[in-house]
This record gives sequence, structure tokens and C-alpha cells, in this order.
Amino acid sequence: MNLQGKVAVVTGGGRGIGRAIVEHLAGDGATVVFGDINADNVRDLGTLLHDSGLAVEGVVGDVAKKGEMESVIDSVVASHGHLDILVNCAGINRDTMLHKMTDEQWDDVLAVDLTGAFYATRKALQVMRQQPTGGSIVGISSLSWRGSLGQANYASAKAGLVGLMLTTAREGGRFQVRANAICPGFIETDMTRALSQEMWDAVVARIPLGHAGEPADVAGLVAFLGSDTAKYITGQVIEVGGGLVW
Amino acid sequence: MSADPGTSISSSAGIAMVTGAGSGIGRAVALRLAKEKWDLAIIDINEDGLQETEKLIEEVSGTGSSGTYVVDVTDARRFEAVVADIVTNGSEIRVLVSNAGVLSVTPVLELPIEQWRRTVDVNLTGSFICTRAVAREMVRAGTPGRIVTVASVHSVAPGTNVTDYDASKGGLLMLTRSLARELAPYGITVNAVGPGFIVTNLAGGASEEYVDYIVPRIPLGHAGKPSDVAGAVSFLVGPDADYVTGTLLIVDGGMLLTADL
Repeated sequence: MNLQGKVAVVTGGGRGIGRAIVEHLAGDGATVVFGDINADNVRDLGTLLHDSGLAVEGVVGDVAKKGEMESVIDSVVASHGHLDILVNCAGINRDTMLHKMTDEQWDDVLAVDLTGAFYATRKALQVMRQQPTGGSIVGISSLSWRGSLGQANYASAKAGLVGLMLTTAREGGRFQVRANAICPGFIETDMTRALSQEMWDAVVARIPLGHAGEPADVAGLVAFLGSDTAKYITGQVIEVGGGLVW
Repeated sequence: MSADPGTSISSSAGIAMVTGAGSGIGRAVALRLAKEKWDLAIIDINEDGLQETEKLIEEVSGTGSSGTYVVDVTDARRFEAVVADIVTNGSEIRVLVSNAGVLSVTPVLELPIEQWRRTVDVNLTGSFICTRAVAREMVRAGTPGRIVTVASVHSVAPGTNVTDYDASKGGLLMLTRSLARELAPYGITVNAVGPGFIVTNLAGGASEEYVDYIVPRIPLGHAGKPSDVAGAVSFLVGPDADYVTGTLLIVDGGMLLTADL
């Protein structure tokens, strides 16, 4: 994809899928500012990509903290003049069966995975609707939005993220602001590597393409949605799961 | 399956077939793939349209397509002969865009059985014929491949006075998903694109009343272009879509969110 001239913000860009997204967007020519809560990840990735000559900057921050995303996006617009792509990728999980799930496990996941996306999306929309070229907002949801054992909090947040993206598409359309949700299937990251081998094998056995996905697989779809090639695509929920029916 | 062939392909590796390439979306897809250096084999029932597309491909690529074939996609024997012809000289088919389709507007209570049969035959059975023939060849050649069907927003939402079209496109979506499941072990991905209100010969024939009704109800505020759909096809047959299969990628400017079709 050609993303020359585009400015992108990626939350949760320090590792896993978020990191692959940062690398891919930057490789396609975008100026990328990514945020992550982990200072080591921010420093390591920022240095690595900067040394490769890519226009990437890392910011340590917490999407769930009031005012934080607003101030990151304000500073991106002040430095670069515009914001063309927002990718809501920051996400955590705290898996427990629902009847044993604590209030804290619920609150923590909703705060990062959904409310954090709300803060970032609201701010991005405020900026993008003033731009004649609008913009593209992507929410990294999950196939688990359809329900997932031990993930009542995660599934709810990911379902909520779909509602947020589709509403943004409805409201932003007239300003040429597009919004879409991506549902990765079973992707090999720290999050999924935490599963037992038995559970891992059980999931992979159900994937038609026969293997877990890589973060780069999700990143390719993000780059497409952020590009002008996808300028008529909005309000969609797109799966990248090797054919896995959840 | 002994070895996993993976799903990666590249345009230097073989032929991309496009049906219904004589106009509209099919033509736009052929031109886009030609720009991306695919060798094209283009098919249509309409010879004039096909020759016009061929001329445009020559302008884009400098060399023209690998073959133009005047074929009715409901003719299984003829289509299979075309596939055999393409691979005879050692070419491999890596991509099929199954796009040929018909649309006419008739209230269901007046819809003649002959029209129903023709719509389903072209839009659904035609895609079965083409995808089966090409899939057989891809499996025989033992190399990864990409199949894209051109479905519609009508695969998931009903229109007005287009019952046969709606049913055929709904069926085409499930054909796509079923193929994706069966062909995955061979490294073949199968996806559908779902165009919304695109100005082509078909939707370009829409009444002024329909245009005045639908366009204000599209979030992005305008009709789409065949090139918008071609861009989505390009993504699905490209290197960034190795792990995407069994999906419906809708290109509709948000129309499904806000409009009754």
C-alpha cells in the first residue's frame, strides 16, 4: 500500500499486533506515532525503526487515562499538521470464567480495550471531521466478540469496539471519516502464547488454513483500510482468521 | 495433506482470469490487475465489450492480455475447455475473479420462472462452474491460488423488486464460504467482495428516482466506482491477504448501515 504523506497514530503499538501495524504502516511510507504503556517496548521499537530510517516516534502512555490520548493526538497534529489514520490496538485480557470474574478484572479490561478506544476515537474524529480529506479509523476487535470461554470481559469490550467503530462510520461519513473494525482470529502473540499447548492445538485444529496467524497478517489489512485504495470502505467488520468460524 | 503449500502468490507467477471482464466492475478489475503486472485471461459473453477491455489492457501493460474468450459462464463444457486451453502451454492459473452476473428489476409476484432460472444460473451456478473448474486446475498444479467472487450487499440485505438477484447473491456468499473451507488445505483462499451502489452498466441503469433516494442515504454521500471494487479485489489477491479467507469484503460507502436498499 502507498501511505506516503499520511500521519498515523497507533495505540498499543509496542508489541504483538500493534507493533506489526507500526512496522507495516511505516514501511508503506506513513509517519507513525505509536503509544504503549510499557516504556521498554516504546524505547526498543522506536529506536529500531528510527535507525531503519522510518518516520516513527514512540510515546509512553496509558489509553485508559483521561486526557492522555487527547494530548498525544493534539501534539501529533501540532507537529505534523494533520491526522489521517488512527488504529485502536491497545488491549489487555484478564481471563476468568464469568461466575468467578471479579469487578476489577471486568473494569480493567473495559477501561483499556473499550474506553481507551473511545477516548482516542472521539479525539481523532474531532480532528478528522475538520479535514477535507477526512480520515480512517480502525478498531482491532476480535473474533471473540461472538463469545469466548473465560473472556466475558474481553468479548464484551471487543463487541463494544465494533459498536463504536460502526457508530463512528455513521456519524463520520459525511465528513469523509471512515471507520472499520478488524476481527483477527487466532494470532500468535504473547496473549495467545499464554495458552496451554492442548488449548492451542485444539484451536488450530479448527482453522481451515491449518495454522495460527501472524501479527503481520493483521497489519496488512490495517494498511489497506488506511489507504486511499479503501476510500469507499466504511462501517465494515472484516475477519482475518484463516477461515476460522468462531 | 503432506506439506502445507502456504497461500503466498505473486503476479509474476501466472495467470489471473476475470469473468464478465467486458464492462463495469470486471473491466476495472482486469485493468487493475494488469497494472499490477498480472497476465490476464479475460472472459465475457459480449465480444465487443471484451475487445474494448483488451484495448485498455494494452494501453496499461503494453502487451495486451494472454487471451480473450467469448464464453457464457453457464456453459460448463465451454468454460472448462477455456481453462484447459490456458494451461496447455504450461501457464498456471493463480487467480480467478468470478464476476459475471446479471440484474433485472421485477416485483416477485410477477417474476417469471424463466427469469429466476436465468439469474440464478448466471449469478450462482456460473460461479460454481468457474470456481470448480479453476480450483480443479489449481489443485492439480499443486500451487497456492486466490479466488474472489463478486457478490453484493444483496448477499446480506434484500433490495427492492430484485428477489432473484438477492437469492442468487446470498447463495454466492455461501458458495464462497463453503469453497474457502474445502480449498484451504490446498493453499487456495476464497473470498467475496460485496459492491454497494456502484455506477456501472447495471446500476448505471438505475432510475433517477432510485439514485435520488439512495445516494443521500450513503454515509460517504456518493456512489462508488468500479475502481473502488477493483481495489478491494487487488487487496484480496495480494500479499497482504495471505491469512484472509471465507470473508465478504463489502465496498459500499457505509450504505448497509443506514439504508434500505
